[in-house]
Amino acid sequence: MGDAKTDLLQGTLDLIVLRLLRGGPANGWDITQSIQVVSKGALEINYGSVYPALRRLEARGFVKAEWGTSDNNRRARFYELTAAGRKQLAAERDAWERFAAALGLILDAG
Amino acid sequence: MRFWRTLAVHVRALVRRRAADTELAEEIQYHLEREVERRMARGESEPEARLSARRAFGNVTALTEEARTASRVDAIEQLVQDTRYALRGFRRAPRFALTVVLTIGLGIGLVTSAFAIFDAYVLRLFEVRDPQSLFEMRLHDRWGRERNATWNEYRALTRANPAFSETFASVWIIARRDGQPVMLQAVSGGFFRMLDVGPALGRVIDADDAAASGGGPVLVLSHRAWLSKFGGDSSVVGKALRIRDRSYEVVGVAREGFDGLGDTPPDYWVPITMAAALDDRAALASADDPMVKIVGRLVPGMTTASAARALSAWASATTADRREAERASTVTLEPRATPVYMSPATMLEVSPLFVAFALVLLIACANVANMMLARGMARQRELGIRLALGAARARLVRQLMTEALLLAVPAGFLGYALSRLALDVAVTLMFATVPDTFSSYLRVLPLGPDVRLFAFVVACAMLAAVAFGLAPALQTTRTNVVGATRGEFSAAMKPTRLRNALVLGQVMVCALLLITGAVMLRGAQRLQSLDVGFRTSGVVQVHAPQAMRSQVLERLEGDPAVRVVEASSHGAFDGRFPQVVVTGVPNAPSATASSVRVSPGYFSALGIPVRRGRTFSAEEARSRERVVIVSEATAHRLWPDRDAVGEVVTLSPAYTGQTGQRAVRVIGVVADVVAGFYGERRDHPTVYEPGGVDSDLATLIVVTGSDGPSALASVQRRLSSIDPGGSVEIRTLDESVAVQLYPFRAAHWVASALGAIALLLTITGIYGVLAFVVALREREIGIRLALGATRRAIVGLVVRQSIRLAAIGVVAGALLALGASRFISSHLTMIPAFDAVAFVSGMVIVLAAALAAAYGPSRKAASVDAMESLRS
Repeated sequence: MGDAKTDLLQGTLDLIVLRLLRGGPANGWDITQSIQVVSKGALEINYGSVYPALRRLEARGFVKAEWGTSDNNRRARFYELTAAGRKQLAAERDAWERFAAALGLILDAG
Repeated sequence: MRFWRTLAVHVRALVRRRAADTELAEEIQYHLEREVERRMARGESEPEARLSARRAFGNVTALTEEARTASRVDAIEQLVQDTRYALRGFRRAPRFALTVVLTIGLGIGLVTSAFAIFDAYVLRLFEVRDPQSLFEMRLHDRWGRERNATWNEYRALTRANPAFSETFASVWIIARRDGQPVMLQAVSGGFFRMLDVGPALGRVIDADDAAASGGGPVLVLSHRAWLSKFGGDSSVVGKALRIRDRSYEVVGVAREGFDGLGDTPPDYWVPITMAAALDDRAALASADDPMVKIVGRLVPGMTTASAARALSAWASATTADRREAERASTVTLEPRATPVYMSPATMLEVSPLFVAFALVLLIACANVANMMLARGMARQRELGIRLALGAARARLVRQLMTEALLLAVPAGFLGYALSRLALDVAVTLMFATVPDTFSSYLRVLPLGPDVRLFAFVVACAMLAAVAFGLAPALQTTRTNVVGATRGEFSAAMKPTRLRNALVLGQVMVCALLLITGAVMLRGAQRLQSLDVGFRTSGVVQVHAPQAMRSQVLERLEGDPAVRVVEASSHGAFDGRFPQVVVTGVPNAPSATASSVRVSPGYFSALGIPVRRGRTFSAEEARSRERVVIVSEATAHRLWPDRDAVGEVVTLSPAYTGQTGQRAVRVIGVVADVVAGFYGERRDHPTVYEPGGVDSDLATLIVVTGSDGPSALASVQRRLSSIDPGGSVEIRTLDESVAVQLYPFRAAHWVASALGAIALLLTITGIYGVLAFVVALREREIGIRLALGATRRAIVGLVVRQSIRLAAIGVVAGALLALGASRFISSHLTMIPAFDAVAFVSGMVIVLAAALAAAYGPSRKAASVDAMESLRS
């Protein structure tokens, strides 16, 4: 399959954003760059879809946002994990691992 | 924390949608610019970079829209959804919804009525300047007895006050105008200014009006009296009113909403300097008479404890040169911010009353909780499917709670409306049933709604929703998904225990209320048939000022309807008689006795039998000879084994500090009578001393040929010509009895009404549960029948279940009632701590009701068709 790009599974972008925010506060653009860097460009996403994800997470209380100054001295909105977000991340991560393991077992069977 | 933050996001999303949109646009703008910069840094040209940045971002409009909806408030959307869903459900089951609203509304209505009264009397602050800094001063002597302040003490206090920044003095006076009693409050000049109460019309009383004793014949109407007695006619200002033979100029009407600083709204205010003219007892001329009440405003920053200490010291110093009985040693302060001050201790005393009302609401909630449970069971399948489709349990619970709240809100409205109605009816009923002469003295504070009342209704509705909604919501969503969709109920899903507990609680509360009601009823009956030991019918008591006495006597004796006129120093049913210590000579045991001075014919006029010896002679009465007649109880206490006649005793005032110890000879023994308020014990010792009808004995006892209203009317007619100002008090003994019986009758009615409502709710509650159980067990009953059970056995099955629940509940309720009646009997002497008849009848009624409630469902169970139910 080489460098074929993978479509994102429904609902996993939120998990990715949560995970990336664990490193510390970041703005939307930072997050899109991190996704590229960390996944080595393997994920096919519209950068723009990060913003609905961030709004969703904010509405559920997992992240909080604040206007700040970016590294090139411009006004940008910075997102930060809340305690609830941290808990949610751990929970979703567990769930994901269980799911992946189960799927792996099935796919590898026979 | 999280909750508030989320809420803030939601609120922002709703309220500042435009701002939120701008923020989003700015964010996206920033993103695109950074992306263009990055791409240009990699060597792309600017137009190229712009294009690719946009492409990598995706559809800006669609994503903006998505982000917008993402932040739009899940919770509120869900609420709207749940509300719609619930309303659809109610439309499908309107009878259910209506029953719930009615039941809860009734409960809330009852509690709200009680609260409205409590609110008006205990919680509502007076609309005056800084009411919370106002305190009434109470003086106590060394023996703890309370007394009013004297005019001189008040004057001293206005000159140098250790704790108050300002004070006013007042005297309450009841006078008569046009045959109607009027309440007057005579106030010192600073009263209105201190409370910051202005006129609605004309002016209020000021310092000049109350400058000199006997001066200032002016009068200020209360707004309410202005409306009710003068029809709101503004020309009344400037006119003259005659009260007690003196003319007063009406100078103004006080502003609306000011009803004085007490639980009884006065009709008129006059300067305190007029008090002497209005009330022959309250002569300001004798400035050392304890007759004024003092209210002061606490110096800011001073605590009540330190103020009371400072005032106590002041009072001891000021009264040090008085006779011992007139000295004041301590001062206590009572808050005057609300009509009735309730210390936490008093609050605790009246709390059982509120508990009784709240219990009815609780029964109503239990009823509805049971209905909700039954409905939840019936909806098991629907709920099961929703769970199977992935609805979270929390979401379902939230939805069921939304339903409960939606039912509670209209119930709250209904309850509020019911309470308004109930209060109107209750006040009307009270005025209609209270004895005539008393009703004109009755003043009720406005029970109008205020913010607290609304808050109370809302809180009640919310609490009710939680009470009847939460347990069923939790219980019915605890479902086995697979089974429920197939329509199977596992044993664990039948919330039998919860339902049984609810019914049991209902029965218990119902028994408690009914038994207590029965105890009160029997108490009232016992009181009603109480033998006071003397004649009351056709007897009129007349209180005349000393100056008018001979004129009044003359009139009375000339009245053909009057048979006898006698006199006593203390009226019957006018409260406790003065107490004396009777000591036998020499060194015999002593007894505390009520003491009263009566004219020679008193005993025969009132039909009090003479047991031994004789009554007073006219000569003894005139010369106030040192002889006494004692009651049987007194004789029995002091000389259990010999004749009292001829014994010599000393009478000394019960409180040290009073003078007047005297040795007297017993000349006769009379039967025991009630000396004091109606309902007091007859066996309290009483001693009678002689006095003449034409002397200064305060009360004239007039025995007429007829009885009741006609006797009163005749005496009133006779006296009205010489007493236009109405300074003579006229009352029949029967009326006094009726007035003093009234609270007991009212208490009995309230308790019975509560009990009846509780009974009704309980019957429907038991009925509902049994009907539901029968429906659930239909298949089992079918099997039993098929296996040869008789119909009778099936009926027994259902009835037994009802009786078992009821029996446990009734016993528990009876135990609680035992505690309750013990509490009541400690406050009301006529109520015994244990009244077997009341207990048994209350318990039997509840058990019978449980049986009756089982009738319908058991018939239904017996009519189950075995074949039919097994086939289904």
